[in-house]
Amino acid sequence: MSDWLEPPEPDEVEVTLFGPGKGECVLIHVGEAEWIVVDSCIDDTGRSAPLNYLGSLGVGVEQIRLIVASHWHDDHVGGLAGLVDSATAARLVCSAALEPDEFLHLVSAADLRPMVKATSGVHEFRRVLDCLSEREVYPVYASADRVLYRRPISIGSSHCEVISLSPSDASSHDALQGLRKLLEQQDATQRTVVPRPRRNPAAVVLWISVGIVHVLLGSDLEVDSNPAKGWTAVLDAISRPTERASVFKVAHHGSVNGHDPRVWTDMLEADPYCVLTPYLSGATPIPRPTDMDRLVSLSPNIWITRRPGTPSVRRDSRVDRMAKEVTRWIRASEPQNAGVVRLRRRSDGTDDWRVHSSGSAARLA
Amino acid sequence: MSVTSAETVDFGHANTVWYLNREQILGGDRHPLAFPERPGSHGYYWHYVDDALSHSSDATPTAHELRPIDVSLDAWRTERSAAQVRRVIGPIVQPPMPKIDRSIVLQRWEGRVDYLTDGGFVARLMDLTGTGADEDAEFPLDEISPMDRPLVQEGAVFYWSVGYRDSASGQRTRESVVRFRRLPHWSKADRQEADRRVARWKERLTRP
Repeated sequence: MSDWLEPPEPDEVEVTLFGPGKGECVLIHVGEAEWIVVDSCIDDTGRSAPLNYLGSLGVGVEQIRLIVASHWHDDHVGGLAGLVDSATAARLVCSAALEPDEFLHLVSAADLRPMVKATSGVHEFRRVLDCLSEREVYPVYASADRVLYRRPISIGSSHCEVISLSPSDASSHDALQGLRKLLEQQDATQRTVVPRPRRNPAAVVLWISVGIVHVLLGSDLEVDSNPAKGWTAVLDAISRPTERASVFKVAHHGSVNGHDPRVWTDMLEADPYCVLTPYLSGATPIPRPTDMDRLVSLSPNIWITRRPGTPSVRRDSRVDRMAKEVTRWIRASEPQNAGVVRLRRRSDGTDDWRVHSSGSAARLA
Repeated sequence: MSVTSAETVDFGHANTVWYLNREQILGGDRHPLAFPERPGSHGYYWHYVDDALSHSSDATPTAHELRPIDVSLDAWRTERSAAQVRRVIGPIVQPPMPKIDRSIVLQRWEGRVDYLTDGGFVARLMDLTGTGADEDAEFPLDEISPMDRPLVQEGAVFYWSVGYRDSASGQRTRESVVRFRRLPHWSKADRQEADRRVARWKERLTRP
């Protein structure tokens, strides 16, 4: 247990997945006491899961170099504004799909007089933009084949490179159309709030290289019938990294929509270490049993932060009975006990990944 | 104790006053409602106009000129002389509070429609009653009143409550109420403020 609270060595790579709480988050130690946070998560104590964890390791927030908002989806941005506010030395990376003025107008309009609690991720982004404008810092916009961070090799330390593999131009264009449609809704006769996006064509897939260790973070990118979008665009990109990753954050919670077999054959090592979080909010939680069977057939090293199921809501049994009678289904959006899966390995590849899990996390078998 | 013909006066509150003639006061039956078997019972109360306060024998009394007769009319008569009383007015009918249905809310949520499904919609629910976790649920359109159904669209906001309804007849039934909210439209000032904020962001979020 004592090892759990020890920070990684400077030459170690760490990939730690938190969630699902209010959001989910991947924390990566890219060597030399430098950290990257991808997405954000509030744990069941109401605190930022990555900041809480870093604090327990004795790592200061000033060690965070990048905060990546992989996509605008409220199961990924919980507490993002607080994270950005705390980590003053970090650059914020957003999907290039959020760069157009339309996004600023949408956030500004939708959060001007919210009047309701149901503001989707808009309120979080408004706070992020306020924080950045206070500091006069422009976000870094991620798109296919863009280097987001680079630490050159030097004596005694490994190099590090963080590259975004998506969104493609076509996906960003799609996302822009979606933003315009949402803006039009703000002007429509019946004013509405911004709903939760159902798809994430502009999600940011990341490739992280530290020494000879490579990590692929699949975000919520899905397969698209248009080869210029989704995973096909990533796989067919001319400048895609040719190395293979030994860790994969499974895309889109392991759903079949996020599964492209070529990712496993062309971008990952054999039997890669895979981590994923479930998505519990939809009609059918994912990954489904068939998804888990597929994942297990692809690697013996699959770890999930929580087995999918129906999170319980503690409340009056009369309310519970009535709510189930009125609705087709009802379930908590996020469970009370988020899990954590941590992988560590030396960046020179001289050892294998060491896995540590806690909370509700489990290995799929 | 002469009272002219019967008439009604609205006192500006819920009570209705019957001015009754002598026969009625003495027990006539021309106005059955005004004559319960025992005056002062069944929610009917006799009143009189205090002569010392009354400004005119024939004028319509004002509320402050009225004094309740809180015993039976016969008992009261023995205590008061006619000289003290300009008129007996009664009964002022105070009908028992009408029994109405009563709702008991056990839990209330604010909801946001995230997407439409076949004959229903999926929504994110935020607990307004306590500190419960956010929930997601799919509602069949059958649960929505016909008046609100046109409002069901992505991003629409609604309130949902579940509980009991106690009817006037004493029956208790379970109750689920979904009401869609009509959010106020953006005003010109709102739009200007939103544009100013965007301009501020664009000015300060300078490219490196």
